[in-house]
Amino acid sequence: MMVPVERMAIRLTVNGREVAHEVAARRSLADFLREDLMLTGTHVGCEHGVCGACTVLVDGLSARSCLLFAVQLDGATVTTIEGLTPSAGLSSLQQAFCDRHAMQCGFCTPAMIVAATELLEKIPAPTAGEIRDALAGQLCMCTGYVNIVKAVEQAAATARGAAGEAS
Amino acid sequence: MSGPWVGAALPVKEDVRLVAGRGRFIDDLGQPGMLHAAVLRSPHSHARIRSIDAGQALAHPGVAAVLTGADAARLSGPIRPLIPTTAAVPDYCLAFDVVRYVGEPVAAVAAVDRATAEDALELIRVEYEALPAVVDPHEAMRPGATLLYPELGTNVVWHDTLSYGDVDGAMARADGVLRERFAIQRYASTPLETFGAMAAYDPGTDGFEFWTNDQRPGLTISILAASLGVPQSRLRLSCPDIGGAFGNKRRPAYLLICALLSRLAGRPVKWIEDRVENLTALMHACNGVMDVELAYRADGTLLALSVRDVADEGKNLLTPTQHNLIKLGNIANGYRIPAIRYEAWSVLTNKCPSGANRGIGKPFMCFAVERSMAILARRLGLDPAELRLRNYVTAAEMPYSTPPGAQYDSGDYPATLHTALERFDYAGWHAEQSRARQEGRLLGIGIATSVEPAGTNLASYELVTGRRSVSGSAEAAMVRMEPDGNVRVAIGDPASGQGYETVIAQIVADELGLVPEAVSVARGFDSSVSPWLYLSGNYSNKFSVTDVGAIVGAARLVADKLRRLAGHRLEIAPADLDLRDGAVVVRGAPDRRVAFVELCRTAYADVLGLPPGEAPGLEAHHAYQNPLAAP
Repeated sequence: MMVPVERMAIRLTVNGREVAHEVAARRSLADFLREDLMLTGTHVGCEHGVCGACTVLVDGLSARSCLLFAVQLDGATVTTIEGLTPSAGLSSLQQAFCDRHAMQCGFCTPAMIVAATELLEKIPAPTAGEIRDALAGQLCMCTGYVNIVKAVEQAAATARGAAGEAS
Repeated sequence: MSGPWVGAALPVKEDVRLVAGRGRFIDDLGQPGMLHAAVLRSPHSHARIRSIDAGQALAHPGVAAVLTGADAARLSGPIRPLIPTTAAVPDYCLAFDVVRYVGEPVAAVAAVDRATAEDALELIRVEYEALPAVVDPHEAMRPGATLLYPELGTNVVWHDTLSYGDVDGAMARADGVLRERFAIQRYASTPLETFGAMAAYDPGTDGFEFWTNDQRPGLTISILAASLGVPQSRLRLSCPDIGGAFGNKRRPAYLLICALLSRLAGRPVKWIEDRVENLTALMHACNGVMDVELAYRADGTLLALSVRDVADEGKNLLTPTQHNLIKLGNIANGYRIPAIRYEAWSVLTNKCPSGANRGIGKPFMCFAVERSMAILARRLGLDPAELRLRNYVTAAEMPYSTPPGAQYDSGDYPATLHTALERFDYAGWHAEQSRARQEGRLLGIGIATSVEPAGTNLASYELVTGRRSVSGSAEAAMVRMEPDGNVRVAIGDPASGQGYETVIAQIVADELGLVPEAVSVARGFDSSVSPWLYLSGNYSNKFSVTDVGAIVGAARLVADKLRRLAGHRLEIAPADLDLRDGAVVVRGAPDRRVAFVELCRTAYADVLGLPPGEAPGLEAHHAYQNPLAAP
């Protein structure tokens, strides 16, 4: 049996805020976000890095928060679904998920939006194939993905339209 | 009342919170002082528990309570099965004396956090004496087979042959009889959110409060109360947002584990199934074997169907035979088959319990019949579409009752298949198939059609038990116009992704002459708020055919009362009043109106202004029974 448990102090930035916390060395990032910071929009579906429901952005890149220890994040910048949600209303990506009803039970949805955010920052006008590729690590057990792909396409088009107007 | 909202494509209300990570799922809930539970599971498919030593686990820092099967037997009664067993069997929330499948809960720990609880599991010493395991249903049926429950004297929960029409006569008269054997593996539909429960014992009232993503709260409450020896009136059970359910979120044993741990520890206890537990021991669909005999005339007309079906229940004492019974309900699929015989075997084995996993036998039934049709078409040299078209129940025959009594209220199966073939370009693909074969490529074209039922009739259990204890398809709803004129609705069916909050708002908006934004639908379920029945729950596609009846019924009671209150004030017969745009309006004189909020003031505050004999308030409950689900 493992003997618990070394605790460590960490400092990191979560959703734009400095966080200083003492955590158990074995605490996963997912548990740290959900239970210590009460950021329950990050969901835990498998704790094996398979389902993708716990996906967050670490220094801008998508990562499985169930496969990271919180102590590994010392000094890092973490963004969760709460950090991608405007204080009022929804982001254009979130709105696109609503417009296309790209969900049923919604358990996978926050992480789906996190992963799609990363994609749209890398590839502003992705093809359907690129969207499916980028979301391949995000399991949805309800929908069959068709509306999810459409939602990301809509969000990309909206962003391009806005960029076009701005230029 | 028909109105503008039902059928309109509205944004889904629930989506707004779900895209922002603001859904509230079972693992998002907590209570002050809450402990976390972990469950120790059997590594054996069949073994006697010689001893359990939990002393070290209990002494482990951070551990508040440990529960074993012996504790469960001392603190609670057996879990009451839907199909009463022929002899009393010790089926508690934890294995008692014997484990009967890999993954069966053996002990549970409540500790300050999940990791500590899992540490403590490693300190529990269980001595097992391995027993022979029976994992094949045909083996389990044989005389002398290893028995899961020696007190039952058999592993066969149910064996019967049910005949509808002259099957033997039809077989004798037929031009041919197709005989095929089909097998299906075990499978499980796995929602992305696993199962979970939280329980809090309240010593002040000797009651329990539960939170869970269980999809059949009505049934679950009755099981919990019976096992805990507490009146149902002292239990409260709530369901938050449910992250998919698919039939297998119905496992009261885990709610009981949390309840007993909470009573021992004096603190709320939460248990969230992890994915390993889920894939090891959630409720599976039965595996099984079907022997099909299909009698036909040379022109392809079906004359009789005989099915011998062996369903491997695993260790399912809670709901055995349900796969059999639902197969019987779907046995005719979309076809006119005058004579049907169904021989059912429901058999216990040392495997994970089967349960109400999505479809509950329908996929296997459909596969067996549709595969038989494909083979028969080939045998007769008929196009498989043509063979189906010759045998479908036609629109003119609707409503139609299948020989075993399934009610088909409407439908045009031939037209539906024609449309599907057209959209698929059936002829075009056949041409492509010919080209492919010339090039040495294999291209297959398959057809399967299925009648998917909505609603159920639990009276079918009478076929097994010989007496009716549950029956029909019913649901309950509450509609309340609040003092400010907005409307709150609750039903006994907790959604698991179906968008009820949106659809119910549309229905009620039309009934009451409001906009959907004025209608708030309670999230999930709360037994102290939502009206409910034993039959309440999220199952059997019953929303559209059962729940809607309850919602409309309750809304109409409120609408009628609004008309009576307005009629009294305007001195006009209620029958001459309409509900429109948040007001009661005189038909033909739309400027004569009373706003709902005015009537609410009378109903809730200025109650001396009510018509004589009218009770205060604007709240109605209605329960609806689908009339097609007859005895």
